[in-house]
Amino acid sequence: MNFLDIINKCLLELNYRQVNAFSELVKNDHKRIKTIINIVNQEICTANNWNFLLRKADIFIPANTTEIDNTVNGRILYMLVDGKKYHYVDDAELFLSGNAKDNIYSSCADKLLFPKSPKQRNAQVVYYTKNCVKDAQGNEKTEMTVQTDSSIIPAPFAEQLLTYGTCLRLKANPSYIRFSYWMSMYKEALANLKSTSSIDSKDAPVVRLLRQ
Amino acid sequence: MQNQQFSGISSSAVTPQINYQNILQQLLLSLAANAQKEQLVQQLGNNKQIQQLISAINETNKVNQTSNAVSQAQVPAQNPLEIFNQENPGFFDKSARVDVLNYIRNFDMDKDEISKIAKMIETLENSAIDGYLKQTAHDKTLNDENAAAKSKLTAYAQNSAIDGNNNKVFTREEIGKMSGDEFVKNEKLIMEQVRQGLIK
Repeated sequence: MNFLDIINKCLLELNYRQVNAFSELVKNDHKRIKTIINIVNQEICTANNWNFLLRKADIFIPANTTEIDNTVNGRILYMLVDGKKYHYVDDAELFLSGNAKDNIYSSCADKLLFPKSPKQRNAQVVYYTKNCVKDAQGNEKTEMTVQTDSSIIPAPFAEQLLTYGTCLRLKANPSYIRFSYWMSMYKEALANLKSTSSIDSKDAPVVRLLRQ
Repeated sequence: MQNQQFSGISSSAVTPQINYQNILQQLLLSLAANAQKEQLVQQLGNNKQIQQLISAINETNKVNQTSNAVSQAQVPAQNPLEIFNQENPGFFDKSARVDVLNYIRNFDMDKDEISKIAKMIETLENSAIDGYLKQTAHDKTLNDENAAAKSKLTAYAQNSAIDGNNNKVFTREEIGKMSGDEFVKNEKLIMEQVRQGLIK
């Protein structure tokens, strides 16, 4: 379901007239809906460590180099340098002063900092991407801007989450007649997304019922 | 003889003419008792001046009585009903009160009795108004209770229809197309279906 489809779903829920083409979205309400859809999409993606956001990247670290440009577009989950797991530390001074121990890394001023080594190294990075949108060709981007763009949120849930989340944000009034319905549907879709996005059974959400 | 005449007229509350004469006679008697009694009485009785005085007083009394009678004849006696109407204009003009007026005309009632009847009429009318208002309030209460009972029955009927029609589950598309009024109308059912996870 692409950007235009989501917009038309929102227009339907808000009892506005739906449009046939992206070029018809010229009113202020249309612009607000487009903006809010992107905000909701970004919020949902960054609110959890969703598996569907995980990406992998390779980084080349030259010899005798302690800092390289941070090309990772997102939050790093794992940093494996030549097969060894490196842990993140906040203290960048250790690296700037040349006193950093092995197996740690840090970042400063959009640079990744590593302990100094005479050998060149290869790092494998697993990270949660910041790109929450993909275009018609599958290229990832940060925002939906054209009709064929779509959310990176899995398809069964993206439409429901973005539609009801946008309506909730647009009306922002709990006394509005459909507010409770939208909220219920939004929460339901979020819970379903959470339950189905876990790959490992041990990581799946569990509901415990307690008897008092 | 004269003593018998004087003693026979002992009451002073008969007529004004006798009053004046009586006073003079008693005055003469008291004078006679102190002096020479019968002789003096005879002398006084024979006194022309006193006789003229008595006759003048009697004449004056007659004139006064005549004038009073004439004045009473000139001013006709007022009907108590008319007096009441002057004091309470339009009291008996109202439709139902006319019947009471026609009825009491047959009786020789004075003004106080008419006033009492008027008060009774007002009391009866006020009590009738109070009774009507109470009856109206009671009717309204009954109507409200009937309306509440009807709405409950309607709600029960609707709920039973919903329960009996489990196959009718709204879709998100249908809900999205609903107008505000339609949504309000079906809100309870929609939210129940949302809670049950039926809406897809």
